[in-house]
This record gives sequence, C-alpha cells and structure tokens, in this order.
Amino acid sequence: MAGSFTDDNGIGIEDKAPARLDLVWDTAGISVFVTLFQEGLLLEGQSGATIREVLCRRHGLSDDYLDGRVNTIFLDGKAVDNVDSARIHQGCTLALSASMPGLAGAVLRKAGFFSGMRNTITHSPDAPSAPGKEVLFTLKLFNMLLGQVGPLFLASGVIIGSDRLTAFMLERTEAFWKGCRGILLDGVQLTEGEFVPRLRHDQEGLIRLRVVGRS
Amino acid sequence: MDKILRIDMGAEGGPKATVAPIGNYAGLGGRGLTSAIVSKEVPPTCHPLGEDNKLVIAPGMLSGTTAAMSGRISVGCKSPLTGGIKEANAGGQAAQCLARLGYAAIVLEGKPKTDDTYKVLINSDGVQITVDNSLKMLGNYATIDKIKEQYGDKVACISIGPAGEMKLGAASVACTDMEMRPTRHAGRGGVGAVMGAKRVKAIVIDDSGCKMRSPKDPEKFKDACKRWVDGLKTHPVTSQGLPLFGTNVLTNVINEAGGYPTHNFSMGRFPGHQSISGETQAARETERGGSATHGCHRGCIIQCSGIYNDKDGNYLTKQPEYETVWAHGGNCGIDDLDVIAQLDRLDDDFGLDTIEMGATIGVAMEAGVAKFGDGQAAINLVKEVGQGTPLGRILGSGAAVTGKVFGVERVPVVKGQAMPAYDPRAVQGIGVTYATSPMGADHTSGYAVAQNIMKVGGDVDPQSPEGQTALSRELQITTAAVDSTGMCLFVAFAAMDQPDTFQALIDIINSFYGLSLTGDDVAALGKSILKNEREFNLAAGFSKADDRLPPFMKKQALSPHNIVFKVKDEDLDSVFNW
Repeated sequence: MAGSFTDDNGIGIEDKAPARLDLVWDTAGISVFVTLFQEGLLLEGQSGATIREVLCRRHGLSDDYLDGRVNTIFLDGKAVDNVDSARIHQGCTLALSASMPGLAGAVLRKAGFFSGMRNTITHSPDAPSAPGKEVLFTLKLFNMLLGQVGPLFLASGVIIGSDRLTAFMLERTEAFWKGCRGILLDGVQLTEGEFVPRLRHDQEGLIRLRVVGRS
Repeated sequence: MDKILRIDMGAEGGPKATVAPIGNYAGLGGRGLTSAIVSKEVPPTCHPLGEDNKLVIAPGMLSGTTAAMSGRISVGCKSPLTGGIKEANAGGQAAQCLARLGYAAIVLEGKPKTDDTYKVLINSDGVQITVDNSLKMLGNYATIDKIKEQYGDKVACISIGPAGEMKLGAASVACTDMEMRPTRHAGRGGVGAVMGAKRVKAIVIDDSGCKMRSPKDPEKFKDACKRWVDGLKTHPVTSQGLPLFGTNVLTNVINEAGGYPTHNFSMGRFPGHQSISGETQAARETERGGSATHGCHRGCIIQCSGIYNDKDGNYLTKQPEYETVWAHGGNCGIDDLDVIAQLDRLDDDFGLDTIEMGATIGVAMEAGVAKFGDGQAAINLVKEVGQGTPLGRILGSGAAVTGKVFGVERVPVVKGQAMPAYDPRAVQGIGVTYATSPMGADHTSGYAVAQNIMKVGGDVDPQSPEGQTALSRELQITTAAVDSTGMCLFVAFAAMDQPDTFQALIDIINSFYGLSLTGDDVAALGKSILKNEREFNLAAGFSKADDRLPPFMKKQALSPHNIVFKVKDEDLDSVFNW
C-alpha cells in the first residue's frame, strides 16, 4: 500500500504502508469503538466520486438507508442537499446524521423545506468529473448512525492514526477489555497484554483497522 | 380551566386571593393567555419590578387532559431583562395539576408592603397564602425539601431560588418534575425576578382528588389522541433521536455546520465537542446508573430528558439540555460534562436561566474575569451569583449588563437577552428570528412546526432572497399558536413531516373544545398573540433599532465559513408585514 494515497497533485501522503489491525470484540465493545466516528475516521474513495457512489457503491451502505435515514449531511462543513452532486476529494470531511430536532435541525436537513435559511453554508453542487485517484477522506457519524452503520464501516475497514488509537485504547475500562475476543496485528496474534505496549511503542503512522463483533 | 386566580400581594391587610371566571380571555391558554393579560393589564412603561407589573402563570389549552405532551406552562410578565413583554415556558408537573384544578391562570399582582416571604397553596379546597420566612433565600432544592415535608411528594411546586429573591435579570421560575425535583425552568427574561418582587417564594399545587379534564367529544378526542401518539412514536426524531440522546444530540451537528458559538461567539466550532456531545452524555448517564431517557412530566412520551449521576452514581442533576451544555460548555471553552452538570445543578438551585448564565460567563471570560476552559472558575462565578456578592449580582443581571460593566464589545444579546446556541452568521434565517422576536434572542420563538403544510401567509419560495424573512414570519406565527396549546415544541418534527400527525393535533383541540378550527384559525391565533406582544413593546419604547443583531455579527466573520450576518435591515423590518 506504500504511496497509494495521493492528494490532488499526486503527492503521496503515506510513504509507509499502514499496519493492519484486526480486532474481534463483543457487541458492547463495538458500541464503544463506533464513538470514534464522532471525531471521524479515514476511509478510502475515488476523488470525484459522489457521496452516493462512495458510500453505497464503494462501502456497502444501502441506497435506501442513505436516502431515508441519512437526512443531515455536511461536506467540509457545508450542508448537502443532493448526494448525487456533492463529490469527495482528498482530505475532505463527510459528516452524516439522522434528522435533527429543533429549528436548526429542520434548517440543516438535506433538501428540507427550510434549507433556504442556511443558504450561506449550503454546499454548491460539484461539476461532474471522471473517477480520479484513490484518496482518503474523513467520515464522521453522529447520533443514531453511530450504532446503525458504524459497525458496517468498522467491519469493512477504516484508517486511524496510531497515536489516536493508542490514546483511545489507554482510556478504556476493564469492562471494555473483557469484551476482547481476538487481536491480530500485521498477521500476528497478540494478547491484550502485548497489544497496548506494541501500540505505544509505534505511535507514528496510520493503522488500517477492522473491528468485527462476536457475541 | 374556566377561572383565573388573582393574588393581590399589595392588598391592605396582606395578600388577597380572588377567583373569577375567565371572561374575555376564554379560549386562550399558555402564551396566548399570558401575553393577552400582560398586554391588556400591565402598563408598558411600568417598572418590571414594581407594583404595576403582573406575573401570569398559565397552563396550555390542552394541559390537564390525557393528550400526550401537553404539560407546558407559560410564565409571562414585563421582563426585567429586556424591558419588553415576556413569555417563558417550562415542563414539569405544574401545568397538569393547575389545569386539573380548573385554573386557566394565576396572576400575581401588586407588591407586598413588608419584606415577608410568602408561600401559596392551591388545592381543591381553595387558596391559602401564608408567610413562611423559613424559606427565605433557600435554594430551590432545599425549598422543595421543606415543601415535601409539609405537603408530601405528590404535589407540584413552582418556586424561585435566591436569584429570584435578589430580583436578578437572569432569574428563572422553577417547576418540579415527576420526581418532585426543581429541574424544569421557565428560564428566559428574568421572570423569576418578577416573582421575587411579588415576594412569592413557592406556589404549591395539590390536585389530589381532581380528575383529568373532560373533552366535549370523548370519542373523537380519544381517536385523535391515539393518532397523535402513533405519529410521535413513528417519527425518527421523536421516537429515536430525542429519547436516545436528548436535545444535546445537536452538539455534534451544529458544530459540524460551523454554527456552534464558541469562546463567546468568537468561533463557530469547538474542538472539544465530542467530549460534551449528546452521544457521549447518554453513554455516561447509562454507565453511571442514571438514565438517558426520561420524561419531565407525566404524559410525555418523547422522553428527551435524563438523569445525570455523579462519579459515585448519586443523582447530580437532570440531563443538561443542549442549550445548557453549549452555554456552559463550548461557549466557555469547557469540555467536561461533569463540570457542566454541576453548573446546571447550581443554576437550577439558585434559580437561573442556563442560557443567560452561560452567555454571561462567556462575556466575563472574554473580559478576563476567568480563562476560557476553566471549569472551576465558572463554578465559582455561578456560586458568586447564588451568594449575592457584588460580582455575582452583576453576572446574575445577564450578559448585557456584564458586558457593559466590563467593557466588552462582543456581547451576544438582542433586546438585552442572550442568544442561544446557534450562531446566526452560520444559520442566517435563525438570526432573523433572534433579531425580530418580541422576546429578544430566542431559539424557541420561531420553531419549525408545519409551515410546509400550513403555508401560513401563502406560498413562499424558501430559497428566494425574501424567503428568510418570510419563513421567520411564518415560524413565529405558528410557534406563538403552539405555545398556547401547552404542547411541548418537540412535537414539531412529527407534526411537520407527517400531515396526519398535524391533523391529529388539530383534531385534539377541536374535539376537546367542540370547535372546528382550521389551519387558518391557528395562524390567526398566532398573529393575534404576536400583535399583542409587538404593540406592548412599541408602547414600552421599543423601535426598529431594537430588532437588530449586535453590530459585531455584521463585522466579525465567523470561522470556519468566515461569514458575517448579511440580512439587510429593511428585510428585518418586513418580518411583521402581514
């Protein structure tokens, strides 16, 4: 994977291949992992792909779910009304939420009746473009979406900074660790006792993280 | 609900209660009734803390019935914070109990001639007004403990804390919740100060022996209530988002939009948002044995509140709402939910509006009184308010006063009232309502209820340049009407998205009162309320110049979008042209 992620100028952003970390955790543990999406996790996509293309065609979200349940969307902080005309690019941030309460919730809603009230932060449709280079973008999930689709993205794989994952793991309680069912780092099976020291030892670079649940 | 209780606190020989038929105010409830009485009976130029002001407490039109979500109570007066008319509303048990006793309103009038502290008991036997100086300067929690000792825990209580007794501009009126805790506040505009000026510390409402109010057409009412509940339980916001995460579910979303006022409205995003989000808060409440899903009154099926326990698992406060978490959190640079919960508890106990206090501390932090992010300093500042120190009295008088005292330019107020948790530079349509509402900056004055269904004032292209003001106009009209029903505003989403649910609400009103209201009638009610309120403010000395956001909103660009408030003054002046 070395050098496979590039910015729009074709410059590699990761010279070293990300480590591969596969975790198997109990269901309660998965609900803790998904909270990482509040700050965002990196996903791969093709530059110029629409939100629908990258989420549904690339990462397996259903069209029905995107259209029916993902009702508040931001691309680089701008409210999106059309998932078929907003396109991702290297380094962008895509945030997804369900419908939100209050006037602000109504105003920010995707293609909602009140969208005119936030026209200064509405995302303008991007011009169509041919599928481009492989890029990384940040995916944020909020509220109901954390539990509903967070596990899907975790199971298919996300990318996270090693330092951030280390900090996350160090903050976990004993109860969380009891949910551990398996740790595989770059193909090597580790115990819980071996895992965190390994993470702390190498806090630079990115980790390709997969987390799957097992009861 | 066909009678009004008036208590003349300044009567010769001591406070005197009279009960009279509702008369010309028939058909009104909640905000419609408070604003009608204030606009008709209170001299607009009177001193808000003087004998001529009146404090009107009115349950909604549907309060005391079996209709779900009908437990809001309105508190109205001339505001000591804004100098204009005020309606603030709250949940809790008071509305249901008062309505079942048959009262459409309590009106506190006059001013006592002594400095005694009074307690009022209202039950099916009548009204008792007694001196109880043992309650003087007690916090709301201690006050309720004493009330429980005397009257048990089945009553509802409306009370004020020390802030109300000190007649501070940020003082709230507290209502007890289902657990008889003083956690539900009519917070805005200093209504607690007016209650304090009347020297009424607590109003105990005992509805034992009273039945639910009876509808004119029980079968239609029952059917409409069922459709109403079905609609609320179907919609994802009212059945999932709010019950699971509470109103604080908005933190991450508003932050992502770049509209989350941070460090006294100097930025639109707060780096610590995920530490204080509704998602994080709900997880912590559950983990500590509290609850992330809880109602504020019986008959609530949305259950947007919760129970926040401390680290040892003991009750600390109810789940702080989004506005509170923002005001005391991101706005002050504080990313610790435990600190925010402590501040919420202190506000509830002292009887303070959490929005006003958070905004005020933000202004004080900008002035250098404390550092942004210093949670302990924020706690100490609120304690100063409760203790009534000179600094505390300044802070307790609100953001506008604090800004003047400390020479701060960036003071986020309209008509003297602090702005809530949505920066109008990012969401400009909300700024129109902040600027023009008769209440001062208020996020609940223009709620998205059912404009797309009702089309109040005709078809409006919401995307057009004039759409901002047109939508704000419609939002304010419909919100004023809903505020009269006693319905919680959180029903709005289900009513907005599901025409059948909106119709069920209309059918509930019609079947209960034997009416045949249409959407146009609802709009007419909203317009008449706003007309009363606008006329009061004009007579009190307000002008177009008061319908403006503070100047920094037009000059200081908000990150990350780097935008200023762009709506033109002439457009703001057109909001009430109907």
